[in-house]
Amino acid sequence: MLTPSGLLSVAPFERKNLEKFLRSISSGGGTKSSSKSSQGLSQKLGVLGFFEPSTRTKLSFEAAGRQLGISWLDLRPEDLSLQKGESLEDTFKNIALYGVNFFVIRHSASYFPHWVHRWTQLPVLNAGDGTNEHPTQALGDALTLYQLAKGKKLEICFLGDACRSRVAKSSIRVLKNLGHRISIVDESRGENRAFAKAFEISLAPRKKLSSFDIVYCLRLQKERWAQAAEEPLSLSELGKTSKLMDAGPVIWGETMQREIQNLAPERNLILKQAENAFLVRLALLQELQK
Amino acid sequence: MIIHSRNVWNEIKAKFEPGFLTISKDRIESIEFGDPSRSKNLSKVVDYGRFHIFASAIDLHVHSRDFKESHKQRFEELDAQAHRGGVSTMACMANTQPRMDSVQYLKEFFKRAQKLQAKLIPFATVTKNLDGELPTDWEALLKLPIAGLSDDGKPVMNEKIFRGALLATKKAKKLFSLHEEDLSISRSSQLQFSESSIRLGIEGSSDESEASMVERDIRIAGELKASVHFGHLSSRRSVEILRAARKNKIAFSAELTPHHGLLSVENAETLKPTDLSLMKVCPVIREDADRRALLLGLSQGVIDCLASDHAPHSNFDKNLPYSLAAHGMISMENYLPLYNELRLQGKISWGVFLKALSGRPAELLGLKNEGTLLKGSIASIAVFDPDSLQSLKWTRSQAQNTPFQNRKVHGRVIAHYLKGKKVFDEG
Repeated sequence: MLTPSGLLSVAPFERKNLEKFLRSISSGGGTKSSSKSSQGLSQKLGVLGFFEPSTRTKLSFEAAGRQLGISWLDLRPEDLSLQKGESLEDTFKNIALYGVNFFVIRHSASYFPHWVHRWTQLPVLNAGDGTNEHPTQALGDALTLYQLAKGKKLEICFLGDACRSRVAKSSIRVLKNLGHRISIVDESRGENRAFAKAFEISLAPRKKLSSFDIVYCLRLQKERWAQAAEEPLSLSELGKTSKLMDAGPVIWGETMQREIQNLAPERNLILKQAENAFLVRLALLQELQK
Repeated sequence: MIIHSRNVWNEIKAKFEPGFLTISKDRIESIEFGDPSRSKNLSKVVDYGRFHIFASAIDLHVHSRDFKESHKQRFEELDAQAHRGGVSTMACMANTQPRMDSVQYLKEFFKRAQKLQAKLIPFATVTKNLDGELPTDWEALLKLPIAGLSDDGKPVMNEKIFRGALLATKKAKKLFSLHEEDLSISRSSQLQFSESSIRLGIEGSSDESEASMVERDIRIAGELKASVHFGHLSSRRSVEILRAARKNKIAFSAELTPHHGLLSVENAETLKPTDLSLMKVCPVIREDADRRALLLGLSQGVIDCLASDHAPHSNFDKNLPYSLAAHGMISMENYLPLYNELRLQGKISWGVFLKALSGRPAELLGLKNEGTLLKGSIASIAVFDPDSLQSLKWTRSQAQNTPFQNRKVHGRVIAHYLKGKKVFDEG
């Protein structure tokens, strides 16, 4: 899955490679037990550069790396000398001199990971950049549906603020690529209409949510000027069969009503997504070690 | 010195004709059209063959930098770029470091600019340090030989200050140049909200930020019977508002930059992600429909000036992810080729084009003998080949912040004369 630049975007993926990658993880190729550092893989040094709050993405990268014997440098925003007037380029070029093999980067600015690669020429794993992409989350989502669908093509409907969501952009690109049929709920401001056109997906009225195999709930991007425009998702809207996805963190009462906590576990895929995102990161780090 | 070409611009007939320009010192002593054999001293004639000869461009919107930003551009560099770009005179925005908000700083500007061959005419700020709140000493500033007032880089959101500055510039017969952007709508001014901005993952904003300010200011200009000058227009909505204002005979002038006339958000999708920042300008690049409306507005006279908004930046400010990168791009060194490409794409007539390139800007700056080839005017003359293709290069500036690098366009400057003296020769 990786290129010399690492993993910056899901856009260049070929379907064949994508399926091979998901198949390999599903069959245990990238699981915890088979990926010990004791297998003689070379010791690597990675930098975790998370410039936005993150719990699950950061810790899952860190935990996966530890399983593989990767050493981490933790680069926190408050460590930077930018306040002293240093340029970002100088900062990253300096860090690259310390025997670093790759970066994992999250930043509120779109394309920040692309610039880190340009400055350092080292592989960069994009752990979420602004309103642009979140490739490892998308691969985790794809793995979740790969395991669930067993070759079937699913009807998936996204609900929420898609224009500002990097999860929506990466996941929709990957899931479309895998042949699933994607829709998005039309909302009152009309932004999702532009989104549907931009990604050539269907628009769905909210009252039809229960007819979809999967309802994918998107977090409200408050830090990106988003304002709550819609009611939180209710249990009844999921009908009797629809399954639920959300990249998290779930803000109960905001995008989903609390009653959804009572959804039958086999219909709630949220934890499975988190687990699979971890497996994807493990597999990618393993690939980096080769 | 006598210059000849088969294509000398005849302002009276509004067409290119074979002609002779006799230059004496810094002036055009005579201009004659007709058969070359009528000339008595053919051996002394500089013959430019089929190349087009017209008055050098006058740019109403330039960021000169220098002072504390000489690492972005020094005056001498700007001068050298203008020589190659075919520009004789540049009205320079006041957002230098320090800001041109006092008589003292402007005097320093004049002193430094005096040494150059191209003419730099500064604007003074409307408010102290462009803060939008505390007016500068308009009366004192407008007594200086400046272009007028402008807070360019920032809008004049405060209506009371806007009205005051408008009346002051009206009285002084100078420009009031506006950067139209409602900051509460534009947020951090990135790209027009569009399918492209969504796919690119760049926060889009609406054209309402420009339109609402253009609407307010043209209304007040009509009310006070005072002319305003709209800098760097970017949207079809602004063109529509101003088309109506032209019909209602409200006095105003308006600019089109090369980038708003040649680029659209759709182009951004063809760039490498790390080249996207080169397209970041304020006001933002909008959709192709906006671009076409701007070109139409120019061809119809709604927009009546070409002005570059040439804005050099260092790598420190510009080589950054899109949302963190500074606004602005350079263009001066390739001014005529870029605008010629715009002329071709917009199917703009030569008459309209040359009027917007130099005639109208000269009028607005009160430069009576510039922007024209008429007898007695200053001999600032561009010799231009509008047909040949070239790949654009920027060789005379430290700053390289342009998405037009290596772009193939029609047109190249063959020679350029400033005040009768040749400052550029392609040969």
